[in-house]
Amino acid sequence: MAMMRYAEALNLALREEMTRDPSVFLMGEDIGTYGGVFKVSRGLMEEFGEGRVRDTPISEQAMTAMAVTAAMTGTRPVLEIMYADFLPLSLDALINQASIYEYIWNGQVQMPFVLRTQGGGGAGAGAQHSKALDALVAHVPGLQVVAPVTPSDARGLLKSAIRDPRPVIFLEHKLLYNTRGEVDTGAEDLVPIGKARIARAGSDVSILATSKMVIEAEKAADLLAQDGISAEVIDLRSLRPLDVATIQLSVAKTNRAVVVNEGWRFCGYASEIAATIMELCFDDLDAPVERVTLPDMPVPYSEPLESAVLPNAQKICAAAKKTLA
Amino acid sequence: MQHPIQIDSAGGEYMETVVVLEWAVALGAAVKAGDTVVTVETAKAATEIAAPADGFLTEIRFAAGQEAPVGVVLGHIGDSLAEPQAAPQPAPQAPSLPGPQSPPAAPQAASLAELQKGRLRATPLARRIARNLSVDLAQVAGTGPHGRIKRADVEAAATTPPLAAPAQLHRVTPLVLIHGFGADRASWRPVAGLLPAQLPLVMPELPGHGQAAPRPVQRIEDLAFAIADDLRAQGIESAHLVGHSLGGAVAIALADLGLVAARSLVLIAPGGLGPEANTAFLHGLAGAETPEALQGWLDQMVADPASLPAGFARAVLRQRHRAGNGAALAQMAAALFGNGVQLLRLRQSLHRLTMPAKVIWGRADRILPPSHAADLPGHIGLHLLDGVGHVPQLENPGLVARLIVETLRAAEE
Repeated sequence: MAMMRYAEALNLALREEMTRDPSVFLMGEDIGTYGGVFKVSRGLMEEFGEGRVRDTPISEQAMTAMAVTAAMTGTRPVLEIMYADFLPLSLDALINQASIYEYIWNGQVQMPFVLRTQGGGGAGAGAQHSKALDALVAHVPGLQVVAPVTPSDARGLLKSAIRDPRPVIFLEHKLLYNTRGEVDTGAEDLVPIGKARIARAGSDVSILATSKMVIEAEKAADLLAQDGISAEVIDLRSLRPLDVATIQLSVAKTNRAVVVNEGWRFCGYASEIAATIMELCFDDLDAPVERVTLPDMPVPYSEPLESAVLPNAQKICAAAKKTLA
Repeated sequence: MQHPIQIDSAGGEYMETVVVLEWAVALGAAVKAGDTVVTVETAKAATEIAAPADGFLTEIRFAAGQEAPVGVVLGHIGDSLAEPQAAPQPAPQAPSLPGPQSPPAAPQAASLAELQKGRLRATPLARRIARNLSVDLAQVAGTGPHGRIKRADVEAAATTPPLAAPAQLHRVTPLVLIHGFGADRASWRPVAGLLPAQLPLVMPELPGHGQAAPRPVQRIEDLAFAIADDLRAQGIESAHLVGHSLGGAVAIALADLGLVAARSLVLIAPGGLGPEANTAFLHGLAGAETPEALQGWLDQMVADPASLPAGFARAVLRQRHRAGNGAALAQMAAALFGNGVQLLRLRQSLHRLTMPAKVIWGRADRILPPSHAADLPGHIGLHLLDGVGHVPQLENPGLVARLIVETLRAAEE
């Protein structure tokens, strides 16, 4: 175990996997000489050379198509898209290539490809640099989507993603890079894709959250505890595939569910989870499933407006109380 | 004077520390306000911190390469070199960081089956109807998937056995329940099942309703006489009266005319207390020929259409088609609620009726407005029910039964 930052944990995972497997290489804007805008790839170009840490021009469409092709031809690319807001430029390569080639060629093609990106608001970055577009990628069959919130999970899941033979979209959050936590540093301490984490056990209401919203959910659980309400916080970690067993167990225990996601509400990721709970846990529910999300609007640049619209602990708290009313 | 050099909350809410990259000015050198004095690294980028004042760099607390918590003093600028430095503060501890450090999660000991054991499976609709009908779901057998209790299961459980034919002689004062326009005695079924078993219940039917033969009706008194004949035939001279809607008006008339010795009076959304009435509803109810047409009107009758038993519309139509009841209803509607107003006026009667009495009205009544209950005589209790429409005995039978029993007790004491 070692105390480290989220960005350092990712850096460690990249270094370890590049050392372990010479077919692993990195692509992205400003990831080499500059070390990545969030310092995730710092020092790796010096260590592994320009051939394995490649600065690319600003063309997400070309970069993603290149990475997908590289994956098809036997290497393990880890592509960084600087902001999740630019995922739409990558979508053709993801939807029409990466996610379906194994199917189209009847398993003759493998796609060991990782796309790392970061989204989310709270940093005053405005409407083009603050979105959580989880739903956009989680919607696509054939893509796996993970969103770790702890540094330990960041390292463990990135290592799993790099070793996985299928495409993985790895969602980070710009406000998580500086958070710190104890990290399991054993070379084989991997976190499996498809397994949720019970961040906090509770008995009255289940709060299912993703990425940075897990931290807000934990704060909400603190607030609820002051009112004598015991909230269970589930960190979904893996957005797709979804750990339905953990969700079912939690809802069967608490009979109430609040889903928290920083993306938009309409057709959002939270809606998918709410629908899944309704289907699988109908007889376990004592109240309608609540969603806490960004409203259907751009993220404002103004700091007071931004904090007014982003989901937070207070809003989660209110939703939880609504299920208990 | 010493001016502190600080960096605040750069890089967002989770930015707790920065790394000092480089001091642009040597210790003791002169600086000008606004000049870059030190560069630190935040989450995303190197940030230059400007000198807050003219002077000399008199203290460096964090050397290049060191990590400093956001908000602490990185160093000082003094107005002169000779000036003593600010009293050194204890070196700040790196704050214990909140955030996503996973506490050991409690093991998920229980299996799904164990967690679900003993849990009642019932649809939300069934739960709501059970609440309305005061049905204990634990006693209901579910016929849905996995034994899930459905609406029909609750309604089957709520149906009380057919009521016994009224006896000729009543030693205990009977409770006479008079239904409303377009209804019949079956409309008392939910509440009847909740009343004390030893209480004799008499449920006469208005002319042209249910089994009762039609007869011409011009005034409310005609209905009162018809009911009085019925009660007299059963040997009833004294009774506790309960009336709903038009039946409430009949109950007032019965008591006020002295056609029966009324011991107590419970009026549920009674007619006759004000001019307004939803006459579109009354005429619609009288004229509807198909279950679909009738359903639209019936939905207006209650606050929550789900509280109407399944097949209600069909049952209403069935009884209406019996023996030409439809024509009688239309004639009655024209006589009593013609021209969009209630043509019966019974408000004055209430002042003369001094027996224990209550008025029950749903706040969500769309047929007769609960505002008619304003200015009741002071001796009459008023119960306004939230979330209830025009048929409280169907929408909240438990409470209506309780209020009837309370009124009856007050009269017996």
